Amino acid sequence: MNLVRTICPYCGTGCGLLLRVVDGTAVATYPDREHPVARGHLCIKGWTAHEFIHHPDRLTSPLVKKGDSFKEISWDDAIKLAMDQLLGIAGKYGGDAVGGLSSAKCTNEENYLFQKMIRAGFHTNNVDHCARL
Amino acid sequence: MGGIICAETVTGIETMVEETKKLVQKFLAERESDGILGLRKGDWNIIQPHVFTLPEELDALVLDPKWPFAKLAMQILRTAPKEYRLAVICRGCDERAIFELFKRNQIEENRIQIIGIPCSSEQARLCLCERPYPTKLDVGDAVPGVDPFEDAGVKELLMGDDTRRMKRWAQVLKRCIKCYGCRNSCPICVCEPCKLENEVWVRRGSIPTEILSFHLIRAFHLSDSCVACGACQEACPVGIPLQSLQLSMRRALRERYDYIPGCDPVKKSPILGDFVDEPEKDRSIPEWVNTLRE
Repeated sequence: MNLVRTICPYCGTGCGLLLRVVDGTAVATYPDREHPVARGHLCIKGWTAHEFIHHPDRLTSPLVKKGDSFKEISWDDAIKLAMDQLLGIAGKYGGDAVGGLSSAKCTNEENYLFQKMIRAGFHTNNVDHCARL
Repeated sequence: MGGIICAETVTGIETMVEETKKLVQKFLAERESDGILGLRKGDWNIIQPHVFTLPEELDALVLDPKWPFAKLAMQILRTAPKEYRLAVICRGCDERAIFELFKRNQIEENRIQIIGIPCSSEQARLCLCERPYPTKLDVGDAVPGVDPFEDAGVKELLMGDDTRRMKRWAQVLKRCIKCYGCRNSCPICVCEPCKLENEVWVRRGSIPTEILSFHLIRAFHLSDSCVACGACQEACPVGIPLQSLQLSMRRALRERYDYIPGCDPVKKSPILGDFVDEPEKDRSIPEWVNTLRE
């Protein structure tokens, strides 16, 4: 048995959890009783945190919408496409024409950089994240 | 101290840890089990459950804090090969839960071994535990249990005026965020599928939860098997006194049927058993039903 100590990715609270890993697959989540934030408590999302890791519906690459369907593309292409489109729209209609939705599943530092890009780069306050919805 | 290990003093705790290490060492050397489930103090002094398999790991073995092991042990055995045998360092409540799981065919008796340790009286006070020790102690000495009905918080919830108590229960149960932590952490909650995931009883995605069909379904499912380990209450992020919810029925079982869940690996509860031991045969509705009146 292998218990991997990690942090719940679902929101900014950052509860500690233990994932039980069997043959490389996370099979169960337990609250971390020694964690200073959670102190052995979890919400329903934390308790089920192992379920999304290997879920067949989990996205494993960026998707771009073409017509009515989504197509998988590489990260390099996705970043280039997003950059071209965002710069194009903001250049033509101003910064308030674009916005960004970030994720609580990213690190603090990633989220800091993201809002910096939107605020300082595009000069707009149109930035939010999934855990505030 | 003349060979007596007292769990109350620092040296007592240290001696108990050393004695346990020796015992685990013996288990590993004699291959009595394939692994021993206990607590390990790892890097940065972080403590978490661990299955010990090598003698050199034992330096890191600790006994505190209390960490319920019964459900984890059951889940480890389920994903392990059939011949895998596990020893578990058990407090009183862990042993009681494992005994109840035997009776419900959730753990095969020949796959699990119990290394019994006592709780300190401080831990017993925290848990309001009536039996802070397993049936057989392998290290240390037992401390006396605590009567939960002497506790002021319990008295407020279970004794006195019905209307006031109902108000108090509604107040605490209203806090529920339906995390299912009580169900998930309970060593006895093993129903598959779980009633609390059935739309008939519990609506998906709405809080606060239905008090009767969520908390009381759980309470009644565990009425003859709750081992008072307190795992539900400890897992509850909103501090619902879930352990107190089971106390009336635990007391009724003891007084009416002379039965305490988990105290015997064989003797079954009056619900699973055949009612031969029922002391008062004429009584069809036990007195404690009255305490659950709305």
